[in-house]
Amino acid sequence: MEGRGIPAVVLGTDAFVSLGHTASAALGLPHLPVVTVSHPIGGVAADDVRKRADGIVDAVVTALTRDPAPVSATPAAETVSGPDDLDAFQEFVMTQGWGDGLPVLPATRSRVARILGRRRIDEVVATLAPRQGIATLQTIAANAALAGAGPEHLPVIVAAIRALADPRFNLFAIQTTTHPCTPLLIVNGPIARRLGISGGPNALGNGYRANAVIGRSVRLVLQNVGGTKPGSTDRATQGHPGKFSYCVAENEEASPWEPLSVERGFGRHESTVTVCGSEGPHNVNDHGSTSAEALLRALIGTAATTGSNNIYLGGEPLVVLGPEHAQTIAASGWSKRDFKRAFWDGARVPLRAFSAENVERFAVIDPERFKDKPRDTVIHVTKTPDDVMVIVAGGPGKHSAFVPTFGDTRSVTVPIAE
Amino acid sequence: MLDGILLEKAGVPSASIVTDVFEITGRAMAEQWGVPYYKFLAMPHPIANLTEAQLDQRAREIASEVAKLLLQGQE
Repeated sequence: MEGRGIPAVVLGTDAFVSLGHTASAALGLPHLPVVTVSHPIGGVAADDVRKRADGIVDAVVTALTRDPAPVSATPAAETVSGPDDLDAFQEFVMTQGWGDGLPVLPATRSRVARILGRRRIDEVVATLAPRQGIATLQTIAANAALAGAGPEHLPVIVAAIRALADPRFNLFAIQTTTHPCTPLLIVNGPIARRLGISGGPNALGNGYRANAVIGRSVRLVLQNVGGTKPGSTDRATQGHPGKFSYCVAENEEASPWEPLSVERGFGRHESTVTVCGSEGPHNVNDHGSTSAEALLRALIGTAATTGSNNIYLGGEPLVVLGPEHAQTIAASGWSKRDFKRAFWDGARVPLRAFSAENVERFAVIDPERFKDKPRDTVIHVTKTPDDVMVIVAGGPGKHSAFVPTFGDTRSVTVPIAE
Repeated sequence: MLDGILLEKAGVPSASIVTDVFEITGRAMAEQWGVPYYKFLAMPHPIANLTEAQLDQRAREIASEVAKLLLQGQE
């Protein structure tokens, strides 16, 4: 039914939920909704059955009134032959549309098998927009092999892919927009140290294999499974360099506060990855300030700009505090929450700073904040203090970074299964 | 574009309109969603800075094509 465009829902007991998902994925309909009641239903009194049915009515109605799920256009992974010569192989990969422009390593059967280890190759991890391509462990591993990753990196890559498919992230828009954004991966917990994912000096730059190959693997999965090609389905007007790879660990040892993962309900010993639909980092240089209040001037001044998606769409821009800046703020007695509130309050732009034409456009998108407002109204860069994301990363030096996002996207944190 | 494709799949006539620089994107998306010959309309890029009057003019120019596509369907 679903394959013919008629919304359908699978009903079952919770004992069979994984079977339902596996079967629908195998038929190219991984999004087919499955609604369950608690197992068993055989030999249960009619009243009890009715009670369980009452509990799922809303879920069934929701499932039947959405757009029909697309039949995935992604074929099962197939093996193709390419040239043995490494230089010729680069040309081949670009002709196939699989590369990012930098040299890749051949994703041979043996290299992909080594990355996968004993995992199930056909396990469905996520369905990725815009093509609704099915990311299986095998297709993820093949892209990781191209990107130069090893088996140890796979759990982080898989977790990130799972997070990107969360509807709150709005992957379809992130993948296809003209805005320069790409998933920024923030890794927390012990796995960062174990894999050498840097949160120290130059962590947002070059020089660290784990950062480079994890971020790059995710980008290649988004391109080759999700189906975005620059200039075709990826319509970024300019893009940004982080689209090659964009992965950083939080420098938890150097932070005066709880890590991002702990803020979001995970334990310090749990490893997580957080994905954000981010622009490139913009530097905040402040070598003079010695208190939180003083340093805030440079931070909010860098964030409060008129050309930001966040200011009219909302979302969660990220402040990446260098450890020295973070220490300066904490030494003034501020918690992370205090900082978020002060940053939210200070990072604002008066309506008169925008062109009248732009305000008119914003008023259509968000009438509550922009329609018929006096010109001296102040517009905050984030709608609430909680929308300000804060991590500590980097090495010695008096620099921090502000990282705006696409706006119509929420960051998603998931645990990394090891 | 995708909304139009989904509406058609659900049996509701649709007419997606892009600006011409996005024709390649529209076609790529139609191919990805299994309807490579999906018909849609294009108008000159850009439209973001047009005045209300200019937009009305654009709408008038394309209205008959929209009506035609809605009535003829994708066959």
